[in-house]
Amino acid sequence: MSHYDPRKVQSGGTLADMAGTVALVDAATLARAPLLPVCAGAYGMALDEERNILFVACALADQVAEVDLAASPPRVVLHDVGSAPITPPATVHEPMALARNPADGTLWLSCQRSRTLRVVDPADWSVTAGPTLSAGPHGSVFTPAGTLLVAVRESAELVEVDPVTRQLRRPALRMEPGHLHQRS
Amino acid sequence: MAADGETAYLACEGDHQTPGTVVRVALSTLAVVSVTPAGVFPDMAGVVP
Repeated sequence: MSHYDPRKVQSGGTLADMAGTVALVDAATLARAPLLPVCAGAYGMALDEERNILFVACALADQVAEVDLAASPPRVVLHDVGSAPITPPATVHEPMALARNPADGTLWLSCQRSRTLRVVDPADWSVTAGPTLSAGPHGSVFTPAGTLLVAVRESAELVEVDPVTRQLRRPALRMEPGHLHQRS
Repeated sequence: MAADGETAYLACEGDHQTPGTVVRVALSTLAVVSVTPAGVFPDMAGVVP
């Protein structure tokens, strides 16, 4: 995934300036297919390996891109996952990252602006609200035991979420300054 | 996330001017086990099997 340019977006950039592109690279040969534009503010990715579908969080569009990797060229379909459709970059939720729950296939979006997790069922693209966090969530991953770990960027915390109850588990791990960067 | 499910690795981007870090976390205790410098502004991480 190539990162969109935040400076261009902040200075009133066009939709093209906001677009992130996916580079599909053959891991054995490093050959790359043509870059694939997906959506405004494309950032986090998750893969459904069985269906060969790539999901991309579109931070500046309150959308998730569904990329059919089996199609040639890959086919991109955008799905609204916010409370209502918006015009980029006037995002309400700002879904930066997402993780796919291997237990049921749901997508857990880390929404930086609304400080929430939103749960998307790609079977019908229904969206339900998850927990609200102390600050904007960022990267996330499911553990083999089925717990969702979420890095909360502004508060420098790591939180655990039970995907069944959608509640936070035990006190979060708060990172100390020495954990975050090394002074030279 | 390590394959054993017991360890998570965090890419900590830091202040974008001095090196960020990779932090290893024990999931059983949710405690920091070690911290390693990782260059300026690390943004994502993956574990190779």
